[in-house]
Amino acid sequence: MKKGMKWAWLVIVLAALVGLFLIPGGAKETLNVAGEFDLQPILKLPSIGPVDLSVNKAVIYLWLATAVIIVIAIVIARHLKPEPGRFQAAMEGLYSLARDGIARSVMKSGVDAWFPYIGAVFFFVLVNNLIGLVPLPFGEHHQLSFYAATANLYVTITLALFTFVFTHYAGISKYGVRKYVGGWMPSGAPPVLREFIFVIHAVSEFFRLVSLSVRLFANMVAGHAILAVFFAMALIFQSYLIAAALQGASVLIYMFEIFVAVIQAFIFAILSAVYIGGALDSGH
Amino acid sequence: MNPHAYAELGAGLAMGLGAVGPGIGLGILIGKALESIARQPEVAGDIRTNMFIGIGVTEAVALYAFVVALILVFVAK
Amino acid sequence: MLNTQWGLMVWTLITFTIAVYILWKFAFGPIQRLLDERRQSVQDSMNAAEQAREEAHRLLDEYKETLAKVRLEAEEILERSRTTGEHAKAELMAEARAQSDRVLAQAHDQIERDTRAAVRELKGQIAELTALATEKVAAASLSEKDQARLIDEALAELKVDQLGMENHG
Repeated sequence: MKKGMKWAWLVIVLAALVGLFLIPGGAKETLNVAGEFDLQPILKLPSIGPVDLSVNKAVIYLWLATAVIIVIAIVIARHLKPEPGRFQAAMEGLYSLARDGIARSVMKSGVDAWFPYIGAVFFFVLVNNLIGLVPLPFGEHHQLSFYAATANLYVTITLALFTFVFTHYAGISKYGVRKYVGGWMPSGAPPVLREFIFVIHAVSEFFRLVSLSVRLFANMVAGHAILAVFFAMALIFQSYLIAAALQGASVLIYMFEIFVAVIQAFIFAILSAVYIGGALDSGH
Repeated sequence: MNPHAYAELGAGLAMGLGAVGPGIGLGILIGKALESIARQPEVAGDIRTNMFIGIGVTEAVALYAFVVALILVFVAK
Repeated sequence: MLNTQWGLMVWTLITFTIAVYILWKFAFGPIQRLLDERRQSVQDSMNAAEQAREEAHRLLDEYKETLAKVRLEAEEILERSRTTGEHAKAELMAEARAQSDRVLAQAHDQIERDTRAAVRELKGQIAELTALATEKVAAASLSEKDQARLIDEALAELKVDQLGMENHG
């Protein structure tokens, strides 16, 4: 009987596969992955000079992330107990990760002064990345779709600019302009080489800004693009069989994207801490 | 062939070739990190933190290729 | 895609600033305070436990020491009392023996003295009686000189000393 059941299952699976293969696909649609990242203004607002404050998909995602952060912060502030419940224990774990795993582990000094920024950037990027993995009705014709504010280069550039500005602010306020900028020049090197190294250092400071923003942006775009391609490939192949297989694969990709969302927030915060800590310890 | 085809071919080549170096680099990086964690499990936390920093820096190279590919496909049309 | 979206950057600036402020004021401060308090309380209780442990150790040591001292003292007392008792016993025994010896000796002396007196009296009476009897028997026939000689002979035959000795034993 057991053997018969096994054969029955195999037959059913095979019949389902054949059936999926035989069912004709839907209407042929074009693959428009890039359209997922287009930003059409949802609420038109007057622009001030070049600054167009219109509300679009990215702005709504930013609002959502901020709202989530505000709600969590206020819930925590209201219900903080000496004996933590599950939610509070989880938040305390995240807080400890941000403070001990990120700020304390890479900064030699200034942890207390700069942790509010580093912790906030960690949570802001983390919440933004994770909201990007929740299907929300902001796609074309209000269909459910994935998008993340951090999958937009200008959002990540702004965040990276915060780190860039704070890095040099930290260095200058600690050592003064002359000593901080002079610290980029190795005093032991011969004259021409010294200026050369100074230029290289200045350029590398700029490229930190670029790499910090592009890394986060490209990771999120790539993740969402892969998910979109997996969903859209069903349309290309016009086959329910392939669509079923791709759905299974896209679940794995989705799980990997959760990992990437956390890791990218972690890397963004830890690199911010490294840069700020480096500026604080530069002028020896 | 029309110019768009060249752009899309270039995008594919950029992404594919650009993924080779970071792929090898990540393999070496994570392999070495695991090796040193196995050798010195007591500093596993430090090694893991630095490994993630290294992953971030290395992976950025592949992502530059990805950005170039995006520019080729969507901007340089 | 490449024209700069200043509006989005401004929105990011605004939302991120709000997030930093809210997290700083409402989340990080209280959580840090809570964690510090918890660490402090854990530290305190650990210190207290350590202190209590040390105190307990100290007390235990003290008790052990006292107990050992007390035991030693008790043993000493016991020993002392045992020695004292033995001494007393020996003394008592010695005294008793001495007394009994003394009493015995006194008794001996008394007996000897009495015996001697008795013997002396007996000797006197025998001599008297002998003299009387002899006088009665040979009053006429014997001269005064013979009488005296006969009495002496008779007395010599009486072994008075032996009699005394027998009495003594």
